[in-house]
Amino acid sequence: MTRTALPTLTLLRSPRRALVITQYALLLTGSALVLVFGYGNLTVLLLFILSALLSAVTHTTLALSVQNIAQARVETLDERQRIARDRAFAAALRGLTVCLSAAWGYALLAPLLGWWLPPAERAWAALWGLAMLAYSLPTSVAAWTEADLDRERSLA
Amino acid sequence: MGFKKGEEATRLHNRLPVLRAERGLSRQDLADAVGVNYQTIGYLERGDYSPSLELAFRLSEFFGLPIEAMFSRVPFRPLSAELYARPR
Repeated sequence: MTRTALPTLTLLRSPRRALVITQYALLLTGSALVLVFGYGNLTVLLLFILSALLSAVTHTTLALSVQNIAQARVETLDERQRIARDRAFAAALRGLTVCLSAAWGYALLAPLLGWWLPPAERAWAALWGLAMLAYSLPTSVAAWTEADLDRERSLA
Repeated sequence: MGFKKGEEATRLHNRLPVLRAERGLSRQDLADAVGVNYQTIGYLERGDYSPSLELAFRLSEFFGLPIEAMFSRVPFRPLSAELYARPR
């Protein structure tokens, strides 16, 4: 079975949930920067890269904290982890569908109601955010829902 | 991954913590013996996860006990009470 060095703080659910929120705040910040300003401005580009890197670090920490059950090969997981993984992917798919539907609905209504819309090339660039969302959601759902994990492998 | 509302009725009670402590095993030792992650042993012991029949049999074989001595749908009496209770 998979053995990983678990970051101690993230054994608890509440710090993990805080990390999930941080991860998506960073992702949203990066996507919003690209949507509003594009890649043309060097400062914006650096801020985008910084938010993307921090988001990736947060995601990696979360993945380690739940023993990477969302991305690990199925053969390395036990029966409980496989059930947790299936639940995480199902919830992630529902979440992604909601996000895509909301974006589609906004793009549909914006011209009719005079709301702001980014130029097409910036919207394509911001697809990066959706790709990262799709990749990270199963791990984030697992990190959000897994109970407080056991610290020790000893006799306790 | 724990039980949700409505799943409480299907929760299994177990004696895994007592059996493991009696034999001086860590969660990792037991996990290695039955082929699961050590976190899963914690889930089982807390009653947050009910094992498959296959895993229950593996645990039963490892401890050399019948499944009903290890898992129950109703709470177990303390072992001391079962062993030493005086008839009234």
